[in-house]
Amino acid sequence: MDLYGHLLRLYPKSFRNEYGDEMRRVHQDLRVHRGVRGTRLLTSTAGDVVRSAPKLRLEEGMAHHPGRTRAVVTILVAIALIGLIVLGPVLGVPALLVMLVYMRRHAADLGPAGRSPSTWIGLPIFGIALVVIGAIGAAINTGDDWHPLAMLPLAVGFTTLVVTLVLIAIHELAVRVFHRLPLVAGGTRASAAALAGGAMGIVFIAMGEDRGWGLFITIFLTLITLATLSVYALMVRFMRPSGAAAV
Amino acid sequence: MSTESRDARPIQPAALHILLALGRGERHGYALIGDVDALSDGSIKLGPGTLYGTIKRLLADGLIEEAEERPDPDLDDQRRRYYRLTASGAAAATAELDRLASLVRRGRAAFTPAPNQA
Repeated sequence: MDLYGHLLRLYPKSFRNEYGDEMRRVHQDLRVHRGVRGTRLLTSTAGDVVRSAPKLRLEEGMAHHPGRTRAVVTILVAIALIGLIVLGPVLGVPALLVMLVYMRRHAADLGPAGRSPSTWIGLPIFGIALVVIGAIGAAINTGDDWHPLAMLPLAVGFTTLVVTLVLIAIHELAVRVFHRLPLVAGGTRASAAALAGGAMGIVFIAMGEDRGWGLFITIFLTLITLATLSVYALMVRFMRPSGAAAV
Repeated sequence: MSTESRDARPIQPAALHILLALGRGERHGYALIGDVDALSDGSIKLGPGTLYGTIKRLLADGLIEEAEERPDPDLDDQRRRYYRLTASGAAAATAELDRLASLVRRGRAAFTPAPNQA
């Protein structure tokens, strides 16, 4: 199979079945009749695939599994936010910018992503899973210094739990004080808060004498989360498209 | 998606250029790439993914349809799929052109100084 045939695998299967042969033919025409070759062919093909394949995958997902697709997108957004906090400006800021541009471009398709209950429960479970992986790594660590493979999941998992709690707190404030409509049912919010809060409590107990550091890190992460959310809210306000086009 | 809801929103440039190209008659994918390139003075270069992604949405919106008969089988490859504009597509393209024309008029008025200011 030619290289373009392999690239076609990046598109949704139904789209590939419907238009794959035509796309391959057009790609060949561009090469033969227009003399697009070498680096130019490579860059234009890569650009075309990058521009079209994710959008079609998103559309396909939203058409058949909207809840799951929203959950995946929200988790990716959460990972980008956590990347901002954990990895700092070098990787986090570009990740956040890419995410904001992507969300703006696909605002019409995404809809209110926070309405998926699986996301609310998935975020603390994601944090707990990482903390458990880090704890297992720390338990089997024999040296004095912590191995990065134990430290990283712990740090990211702890950050996820803090971010989850802050987001739930902000949402509760919006619902109870400012009378905004809740995104998900009260039971889902309570379950997510219990999961994240319970896991945080266990982490604090396990920290023992280092609890002061834990508190400091929690406050630090909370402030960064609030700052990030404020910047995000401002950017969304100023970047909001005036009208979304379907095609 | 209904035509009514689609009319309220601007059509993206690539989709509009495809509609304009199909306004001249039935076209297959490769011909559309050439026509869009020419119509946009080279500013819009469609690749196969962008082209067929847009075609899929235009078909879903009922703005274009696949032609069952080839315009001239002797002159072209019969395996190719041809597309043509529907009445809804023509109406949507016209509405979008009117919207753009109105925008251009307002834009020119905004940037042209009034006689007493000149």
